[in-house]
Amino acid sequence: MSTRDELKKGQREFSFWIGVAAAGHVAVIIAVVLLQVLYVRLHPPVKIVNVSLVSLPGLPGPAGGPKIPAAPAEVKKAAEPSPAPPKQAAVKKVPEPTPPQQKKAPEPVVAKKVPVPVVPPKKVPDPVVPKKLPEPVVAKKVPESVVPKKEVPTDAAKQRQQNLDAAIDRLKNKTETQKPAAKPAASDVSDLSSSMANLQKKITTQGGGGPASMGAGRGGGGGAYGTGGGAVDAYKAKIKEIVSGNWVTPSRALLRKLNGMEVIVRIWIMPDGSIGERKYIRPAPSEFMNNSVVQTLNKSVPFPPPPKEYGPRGVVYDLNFTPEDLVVK
Amino acid sequence: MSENAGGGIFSMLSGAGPVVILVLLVLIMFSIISWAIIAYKFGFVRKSIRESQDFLDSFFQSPNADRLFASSESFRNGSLPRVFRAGYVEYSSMRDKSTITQLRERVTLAVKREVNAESKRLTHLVPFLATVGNTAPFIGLFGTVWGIMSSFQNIGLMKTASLVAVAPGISEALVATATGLVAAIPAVMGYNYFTQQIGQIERDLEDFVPDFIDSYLNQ
Repeated sequence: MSTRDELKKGQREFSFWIGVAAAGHVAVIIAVVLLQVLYVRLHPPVKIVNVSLVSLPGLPGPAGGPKIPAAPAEVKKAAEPSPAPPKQAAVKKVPEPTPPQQKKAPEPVVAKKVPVPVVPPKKVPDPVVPKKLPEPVVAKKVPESVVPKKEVPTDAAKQRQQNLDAAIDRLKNKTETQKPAAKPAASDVSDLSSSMANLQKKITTQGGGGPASMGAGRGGGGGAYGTGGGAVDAYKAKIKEIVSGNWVTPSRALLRKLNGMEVIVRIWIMPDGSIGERKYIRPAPSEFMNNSVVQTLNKSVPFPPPPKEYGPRGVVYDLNFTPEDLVVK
Repeated sequence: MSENAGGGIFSMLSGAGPVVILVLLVLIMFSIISWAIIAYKFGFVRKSIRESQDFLDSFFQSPNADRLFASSESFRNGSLPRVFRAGYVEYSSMRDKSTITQLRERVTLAVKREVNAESKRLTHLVPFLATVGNTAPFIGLFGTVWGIMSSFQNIGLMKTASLVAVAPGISEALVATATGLVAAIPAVMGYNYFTQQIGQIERDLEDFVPDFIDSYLNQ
């Protein structure tokens, strides 16, 4: 009955409740963890695949890369600008005809297969024949695309032609001053290499934040990019290889323009390997790039069936097409 | 990266700094103690109110002090029976030795002392709830501010202000504020409930103390 006894009894009771509260907190924490694990199991996170957009010819070395067939859509696309675009647009579009160009790096080619005749032949003072170029350099592709012709010139085409002529003249001067056959146009190369260096720097400074696809370099024979980086499972790597192998390579000039653009496509691969659904999470401002992605995906279908672990619902991937992968060799 | 996104709070906290972790531990400790106090006091106050009510019922049935004292043996946790017992013990020890006026004074004094003791017993530990309710959000905020400071430092180190560099630090810092609120909200609710209940008991004590004293002296 003494107050001391009551105090002791109260302390004992309070200690008991402390224990109960601690146990309750532990239980709540465990429940939260279990719920999260359960939630992740029920809604598996979408896997992200960074697709190497470009297979750079030449850069890794003078190895004959595999020829990638040009997409028919490119031709269509390149022919599009003819309906009277303003001067600025015409200038911008100039490089676009080049994408269908194939990377056939070290061969001295006179006129490569450029399916898009944009310029009437008469205006071209002299179809520039670039001499043995180990690497197809952007500027050189322009005249190449000019060689074949056959199309009715419009006003816009004339303007474009003028721009082209000026560019060709400049180019011609450059190529003539730098005679040695194996030498690419110096300013072009330096231009390109400086932009490459910038990109490289950007990616390296990003550290861990860089694309997961960075990793092993491109083989001399032109295999797919290495999986490198993260914990990518074999199937994911395979999908990536297929998609990047089917990528329709644009020209470098175009690549420079596309620099910084990104297309994210979510695809749902059904158990039989077909694409059940595709959704453009983030399209690029350039129609050309979007079309290229569409073409690439169309060419890649059907994929190999996903492994059984993914279950009967198939698997969902986010494909991240970004020209910054260009830096990854 | 996407795997981490599904990992939830705990994968997020794996990268938190020591200050944020310390803040979280303090807040979790506060929360445990608050809940223990709430549970302990809830039983205590409920029992006190119930026994006081039962004692009052028997008090109204027979105002005989001797019999009430006998029945109050079974209400040892109620505030009213405790005050009554204290007054009765004082009255019994003094009734043959002093005049009625002195007796009344002594009993009143004893009852007043017991009321104070009872009030102290009832409010014991309750102010801690108010402390947690007031300070836990600020402690959590401190953890958040510290976490965001580190996060901004990382921006400088990584030389990029991209969301990838900033977001994890900020989100793990915000966990501290969330924990502070989780600790504070029940503490504030418990504090309000107990102050209201204890106030009610204290008002009952004030009301019935004169009746108790009369019941001793009038028998």
